[in-house]
Amino acid sequence: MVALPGLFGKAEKVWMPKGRPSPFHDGPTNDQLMSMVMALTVEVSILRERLDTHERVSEAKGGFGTGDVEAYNADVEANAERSSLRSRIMHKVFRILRQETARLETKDEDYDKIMKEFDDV
Amino acid sequence: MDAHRPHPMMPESNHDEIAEQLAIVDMKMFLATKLDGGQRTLLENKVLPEFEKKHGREPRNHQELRKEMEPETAYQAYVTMVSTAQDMMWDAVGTCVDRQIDDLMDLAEIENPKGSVRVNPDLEVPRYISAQDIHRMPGNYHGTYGERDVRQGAVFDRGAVVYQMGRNGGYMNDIRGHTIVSHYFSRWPEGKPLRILDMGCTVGHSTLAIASYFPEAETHAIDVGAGMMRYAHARAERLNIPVHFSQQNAECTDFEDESFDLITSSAMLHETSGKALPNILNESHRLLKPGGAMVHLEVPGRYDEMDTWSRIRGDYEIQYNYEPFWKGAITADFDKLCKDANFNDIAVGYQDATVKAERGNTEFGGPSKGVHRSWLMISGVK
Repeated sequence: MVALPGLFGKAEKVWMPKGRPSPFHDGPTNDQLMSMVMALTVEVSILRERLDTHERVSEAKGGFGTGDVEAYNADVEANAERSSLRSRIMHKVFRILRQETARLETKDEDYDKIMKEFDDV
Repeated sequence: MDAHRPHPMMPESNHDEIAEQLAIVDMKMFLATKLDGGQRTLLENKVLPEFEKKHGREPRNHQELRKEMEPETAYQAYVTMVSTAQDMMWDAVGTCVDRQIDDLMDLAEIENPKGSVRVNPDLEVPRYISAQDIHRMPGNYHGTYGERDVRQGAVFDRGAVVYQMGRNGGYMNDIRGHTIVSHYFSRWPEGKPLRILDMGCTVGHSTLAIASYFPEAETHAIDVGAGMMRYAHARAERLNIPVHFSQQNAECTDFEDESFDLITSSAMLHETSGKALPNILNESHRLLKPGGAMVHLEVPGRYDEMDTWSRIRGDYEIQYNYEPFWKGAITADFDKLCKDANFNDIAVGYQDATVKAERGNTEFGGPSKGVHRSWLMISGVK
């Protein structure tokens, strides 16, 4: 029952269950990754439900509904904008993978030498 | 029923909080129905044959096979997801409660209460509760964060809806209470208790269901947390059922000898210990009037009826859902324990789960219909 105060006041506290740690994978990285994927899944579920609520509330108040959304046809301009939105998300989510390979394309400096260089000053 | 605030004391949830809670219910259901079965397949089709080939013999116990399961990536993913979903559940409910805790404390102030609440700052919380946060619920049953605090009650009330996935009576979570009375009515169709004690009551999920059948009775309920008791009292008052809550240890209460006609508990015994269990039965006996009855409800699975995967899954509950007495409770010889506590007319068996108890029902004594369809009942007479 440890409560770590967060950055944003009481609503952002991080509560920890008191008990043995539960690392199930060989290394903690996969446990952390799984935890993040699950949290992301729930966040996406919340967003999806919010969109559904928008459609239902709109329809109940005489506005557009799910049927109108389904019948919508994006024109060329809208498709191009959407494509860039999708590209942005791909970039954000898979940045870490691209970063790994980008590193191979450049020659690393000798960072020990750099450290020494500043240290000597 | 308004999902935002299903009863007048329940923490209010906004649109996204409800969506979050429901997504976690579905995730837990997905784990229990879609991934759990795959673990049994993994065990029976791969891990067990490989064990037998490697060692040239059958495994001596399930622990040997659990060790062989642990390197399997499918098993690793499964147990990670089970514990993470549990932590996500308490986080979802906890953040919801924390943002409105001041309002909830105000809501817990009751003018002209019909019942009462009594807290005891000197109560020593038993070590089997305080040693780790049962069910991975940060703050546990007894955590209390100020003189007006109700946080753990609020978290447990909203959390139980997610945890039980609607199988224990939706937002009221009271099927176990109805089932306790159903068992009482099956054994004593004319029973009319005038003083009732519900032990380990938490927020009073079962207590209120039990009290609702006996409006002429005075109902008491106990648990070890001050915040929990304050919330339980406010919840009962706002649902208009008078109950007298007090912060006490069920092993050694401050009630007088022979002061109750009916003593109950709902899935409490497996959260205690091998030493506490006989104490609680002895205390039940001390508190009952001659001829009074005790009815304890417990989880339906019995260890000797479980297959290997269920036992491995049980090890998870013990080690990582922080349920240290889980195995002890489902292997306990309740008949003997009740005899040792001097009870007569003892019955140990399964009662069908119900949302409404009928006097003279015959829903006791058959085989278990499974989790949430049957409950194990332990009853006896002083």
